[in-house]
Amino acid sequence: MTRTTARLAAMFAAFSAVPALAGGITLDARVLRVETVAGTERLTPAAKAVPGDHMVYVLAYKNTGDQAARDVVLNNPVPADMLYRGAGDGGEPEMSVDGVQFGPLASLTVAGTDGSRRPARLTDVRQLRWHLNQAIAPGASGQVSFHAVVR
Amino acid sequence: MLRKLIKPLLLSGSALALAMPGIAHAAGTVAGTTVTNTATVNFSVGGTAQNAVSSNAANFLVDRKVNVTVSEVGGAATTVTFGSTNQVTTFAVTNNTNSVMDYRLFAIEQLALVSTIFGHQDNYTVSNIRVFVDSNGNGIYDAGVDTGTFVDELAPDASVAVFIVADIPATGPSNAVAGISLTAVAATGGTGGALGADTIASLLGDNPGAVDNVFADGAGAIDLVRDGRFSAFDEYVVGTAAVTAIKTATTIMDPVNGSLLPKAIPGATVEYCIQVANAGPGTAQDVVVEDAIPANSTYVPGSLYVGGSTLLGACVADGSFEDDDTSGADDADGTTGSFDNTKIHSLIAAVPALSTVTTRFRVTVN
Repeated sequence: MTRTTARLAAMFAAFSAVPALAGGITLDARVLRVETVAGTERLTPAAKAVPGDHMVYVLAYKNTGDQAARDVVLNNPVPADMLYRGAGDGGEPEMSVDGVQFGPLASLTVAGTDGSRRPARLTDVRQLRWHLNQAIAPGASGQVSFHAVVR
Repeated sequence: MLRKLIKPLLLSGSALALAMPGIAHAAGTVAGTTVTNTATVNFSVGGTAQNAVSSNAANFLVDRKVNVTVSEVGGAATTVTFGSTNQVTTFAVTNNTNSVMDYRLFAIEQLALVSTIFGHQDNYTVSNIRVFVDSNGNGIYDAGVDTGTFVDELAPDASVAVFIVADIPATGPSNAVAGISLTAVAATGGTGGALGADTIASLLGDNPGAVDNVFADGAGAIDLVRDGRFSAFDEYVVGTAAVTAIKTATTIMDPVNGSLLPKAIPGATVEYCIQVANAGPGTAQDVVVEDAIPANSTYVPGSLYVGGSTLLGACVADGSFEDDDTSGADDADGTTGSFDNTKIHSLIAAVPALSTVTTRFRVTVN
């Protein structure tokens, strides 16, 4: 995890050459647990999570600047120890099994144990990416979410 | 612009993918693991790409999902005899919990008239019941070696053999059956060599900073679902042995024909073979064969073989050689034989069910 942080920092350094304008986007990540009580599902703060539990990750974004934000790309690796189970709010993300090639699940393959490639499954997905088509107006907000299960 | 933006993202993505541990147990992610999620957003304002923004880290702590199974090993009752000691039934305790666990163990006898796991009816009780854990992984109870009485530090997905060891009273009803159960109670692991306290389910709200205990075990033989314990039955059956003996005589050679079609004429050598067969179901123990040397014949010194086998009903020329006296290494093991000038005597420690063991010796015809 330390290495990951270092890479992220390196990435930020690469971006710092770009002149920043006033304002920006804030991004808030939350994790909720799907709890079934008397047959109905409800979301509770992630607590008492054990292997096999169904969790929902919510990424809430808000444009706190005074200009519209465009070309918005949300990027989220599927956390270690979690298995991706599908998209929630905000539409289907692009998926990747290797962090290099992104696309719909049907376009992805993974190497099998014998070296041949097989179609990727949801559980193979390790990286998610949402392209927001609409510009985000100043003050506007929205969220995307995805479902995952604790290994 | 988007293309420019994506390239560093892709690089970061691959780094993240490589940093994933991706180790999965059947029991699941180890309790106490913090699962963290941080997202990033890239965007542009007025046609200019902005610095990527990271979210906060959304974390949760993986709690302990306590799950244990106990199963009977062998798929059959342990057949014993009245008066035998240290008789063993074997179980397997499997830790399906996502953390290292101890297990407290106890054995309980079934009540009379209750059906046992192998379809009998309990009518008997064994005594001096003890529980031991297989210490060397051989799956067999080794007296004095397997001395641990609780399961210590069992890793997730790991399994260990546990033995119930009991003594069988000297008397009892015919077709005596004693059912018995083994229960494993989840206990806190982490300290080797000591049994932790029984695990207690966290019934109140989650403590976000601590590993809570969630019971996820099934209902075993004598325990309930989600009670942090599991149990299974096994049984002791006191076996009776149906022992029969057959004696055959074969002329080996005579002084006229030699070994070619020998006849039982004076001076001929005749081999006697006594077959002791056990039709089961129990093991026949300490089987003694005594046979007087027939009149008009003389025992051939050093011709006694005990513990041999049969093939298609005929004695095979095998077994352990026994000298004629009653001492020495040949008489110190479980299979002994001797000749006292009037009769031969052999002792076979055990004749298992559905097997035949022979005693062979030769005489010459006077």
